[in-house]
Amino acid sequence: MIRLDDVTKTYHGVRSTVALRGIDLEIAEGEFLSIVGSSGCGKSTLLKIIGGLIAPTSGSRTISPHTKEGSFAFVFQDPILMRWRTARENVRLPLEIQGSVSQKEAGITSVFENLGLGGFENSYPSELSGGMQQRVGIARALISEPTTLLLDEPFASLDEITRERLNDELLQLWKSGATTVQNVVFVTHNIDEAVFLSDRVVILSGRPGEIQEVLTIDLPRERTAEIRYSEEFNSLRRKIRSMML
Amino acid sequence: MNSTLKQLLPPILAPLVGLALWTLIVRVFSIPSYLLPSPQSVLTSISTSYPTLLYHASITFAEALAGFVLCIIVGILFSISFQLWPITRQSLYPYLVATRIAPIIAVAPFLLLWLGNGFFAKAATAAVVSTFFIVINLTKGFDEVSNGARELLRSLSATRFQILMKLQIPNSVPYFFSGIKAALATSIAGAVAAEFISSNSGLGHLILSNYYYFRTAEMFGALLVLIAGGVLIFGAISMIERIFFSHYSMRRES
Ligand SMILES: Nc1ncnc2c1ncn2[C@@H]1O[C@H](COP(=O)(O)OP(=O)(O)O)[C@@H](O)[C@H]1O
Ligand SMILES: [Mg+2]
Repeated sequence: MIRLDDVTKTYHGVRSTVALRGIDLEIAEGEFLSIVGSSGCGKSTLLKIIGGLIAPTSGSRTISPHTKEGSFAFVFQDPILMRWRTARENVRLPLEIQGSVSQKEAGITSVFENLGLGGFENSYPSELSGGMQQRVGIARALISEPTTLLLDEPFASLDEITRERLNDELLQLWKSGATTVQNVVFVTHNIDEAVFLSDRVVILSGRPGEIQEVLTIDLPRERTAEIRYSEEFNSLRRKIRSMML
Repeated sequence: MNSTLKQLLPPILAPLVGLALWTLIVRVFSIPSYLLPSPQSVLTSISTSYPTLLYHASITFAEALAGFVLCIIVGILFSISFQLWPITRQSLYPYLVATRIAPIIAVAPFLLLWLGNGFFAKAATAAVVSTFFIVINLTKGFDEVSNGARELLRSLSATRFQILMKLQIPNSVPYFFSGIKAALATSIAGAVAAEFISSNSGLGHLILSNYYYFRTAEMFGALLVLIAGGVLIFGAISMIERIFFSHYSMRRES
């Protein structure tokens, strides 16, 4: 469980920017939560605060002892792969930094299998498509066995088909129990994606970023590709869109 | 095959055309050989005196390469210290440019004065004028890692030292190669400049002593050996970069 109480974040630059104000949010155990909002409304900032990567200017962040610190892993929009490392070496990076290569190196192969990356271990990033690069980015996040996975518009630069496929796969992977991930926090500006994946959707309004609404997605947890064309799906989508105006 | 031939032809033909023009000018205007010897007489001088040339070349290149290695070591140490201890960067980096602005030929006498006029003073001159290029390029390579990559490493709780080792140093590899290529040229220039001021061996000494006797063909011979040696080392460095470090390059290989 992760809880934010009255969190504010101000960036001090040439001009001060209030990126977030008065954020109260609780992420339950086993939840898939999405954060949507227009560009620049503070989604990335909120995700980084949830993951403990930056500290709030005021307010507090509490995590239950069960969700221990250090079990957060990030996936960014730009997969940020190191060009001089093969896919496998990129995924090994977190292990090298944590000094756990010898214990966990064997896990790389199964993570590659789970993400459909089998056979690409020795490819360099420049030899991989955008979708494959992002799979490597996800594999790198999973290898350190996080309990909370934090994704910041991971599929924003991919084409529609690849994005939908990766959405399906992410959901499968999360539910399958093949990973240690319990919670997923997913930032996107794509409403379809948020509805399809989530238990709840947080709608942020911009400048300063405040929570406008938290919407529960009461679709069955078994999400098949067809669900995208259902009446319920459409009405949820319309509802979010109207709130984002 | 045809297109590679087309690419290779101009750089092969250009010097041949140049040599032909050179010969023609010397003949047509009957230029005295102490002013401009013909290519033939330069070649003759090289072929008759090549043991001497090689002897002097070995001295100059030993000085230049010792200085080159020294400037790489010192340059790496400075660059890393600039990253790990910002105070060293703040206090020293602005003055680095002074080592570049000061003319080599004006710096060398001081080094010869302090270090004696032997091998070490020449290597030191070469190193002093070259360190700048290593530090400037490495620092650029260390600095120009994306904010995203820094953030990723911070999210993995990497230490300052790990960020340097896993991200900044590998990222700087292509910059490092640019730096050492520039440093190679100035190392050779530094060694020759020091020889000009005080020495009784080396290609710099050879050029200067032949100059006093108007032995221009011999001067050309020494200059050509100097250039050929430098180009050879430069080519070797480029080859090492291409063969062993291709994945560090910014170019996206297709
Ligand atoms: N490091 C930073 N320094 C200063 N301002 C920042 C920084 N990061 C983000 N901001 C500002 O904070 C606001 C929210 O940014 P961000 O959280 O990245 O929004 P989003 O992810 O929704 O696009 C924007 O106005 C942005 O310009
Ligand atoms: Mg963002």
